[in-house]
Amino acid sequence: MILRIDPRSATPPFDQLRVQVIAHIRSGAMVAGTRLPTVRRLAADLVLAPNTVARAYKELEAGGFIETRGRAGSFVKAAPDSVEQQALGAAKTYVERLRELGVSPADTVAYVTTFLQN
Amino acid sequence: MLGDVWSNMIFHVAVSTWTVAGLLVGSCVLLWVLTHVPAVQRRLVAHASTVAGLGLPHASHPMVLAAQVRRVRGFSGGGFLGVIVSIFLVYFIGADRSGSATVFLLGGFVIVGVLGGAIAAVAGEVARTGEGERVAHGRRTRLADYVPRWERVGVRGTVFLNLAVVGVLILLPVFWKLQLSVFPQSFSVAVVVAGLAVALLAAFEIGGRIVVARPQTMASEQELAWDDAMRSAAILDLVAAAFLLGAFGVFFGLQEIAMAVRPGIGGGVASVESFNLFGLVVLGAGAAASVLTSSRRHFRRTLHADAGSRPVGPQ
Repeated sequence: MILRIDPRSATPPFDQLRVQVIAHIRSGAMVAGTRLPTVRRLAADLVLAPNTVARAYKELEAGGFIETRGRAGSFVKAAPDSVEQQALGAAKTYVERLRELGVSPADTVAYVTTFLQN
Repeated sequence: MLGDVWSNMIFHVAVSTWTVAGLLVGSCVLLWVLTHVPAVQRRLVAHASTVAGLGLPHASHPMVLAAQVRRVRGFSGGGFLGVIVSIFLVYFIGADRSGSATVFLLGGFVIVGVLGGAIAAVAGEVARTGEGERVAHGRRTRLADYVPRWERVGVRGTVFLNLAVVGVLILLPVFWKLQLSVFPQSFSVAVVVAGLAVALLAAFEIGGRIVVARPQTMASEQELAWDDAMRSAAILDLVAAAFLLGAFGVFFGLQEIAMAVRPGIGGGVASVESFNLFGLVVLGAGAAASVLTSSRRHFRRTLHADAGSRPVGPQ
């Protein structure tokens, strides 16, 4: 799990950092609870200004990818629900409600199809 | 005063002790001189490459060579100091009056030597400010990334066992009618060695974390892996020194307990032969452990698991 910074790149260093951390989280290399390096340490390792690393961390936090637990440091957050998972949750709620109303499975699908066509 | 001690030492320390000390000091000087020989330097780098299981890119060669040379010179300097300190200890406690003190000297040479090597290996690390790409670990590194669990538990357990034995030694007069006085009434090698073992354990626990926390300004993943290899080697050397001293401390403590309880026996655990045997077993175990590369490659499993295997040796 390596972070790289290319100082000659047109992409600002904070963005390079942010994009890489997100990529590591999405690939599963950084799992929930992974402790990130301190701002000062990462800034020293990558020869960046601490503010640059702090900005990347702040944007990652705003994006819901990491969380800061006071002096304990920054940690990777549990992955936010994906679109697929949210859609499945909504479909489950819909199917359960229609089952309560006594609607048949075929009619349940037909209602959705009609709604989509309209 | 030091002159008086020195002149007394010359006559009171056995010739066999001086001979072994001379050989060990000679080997320290030889090691120091050998680090200036290009062929030896190449061998040192190749050995580091084999132990770490990493290929050596051209750009990393000076860094690895400098660290290896520092480590060997640190070992020879530490070993020299260890021999001198051991001679003083042998003189003050009379360790060679009833036999050879070879293992005593050898122990001091190896333990202080390893400690010197560990300190020197990381002391001269220079931060780089290259203009190209830079790499860093994406997660916070810990001591556990460099030292396997069994070694951490082993060294802590050995030093705590040493303290427990010393505790028994100190409490002995309370529960037992002794024929010889023990610490604090009389000087105790076991207590001195236990104190040094605790100091080395602290050096590992605190110094190891300081080494881990030092910034790594590296230009490639392989360079970063090499830096981790150097750190790992230095920390594992601290572990080895604390473990050896702790093991010797346990034996000294048991020996003093045995002598205090049954002073006339002379044999068994309190004998010079048994000390020599124990010392050789401990030093042999330490040497065998240093040959095994699994601990030296632990950092690759924890920090560079996704890097895969690379050809070993200078490239």
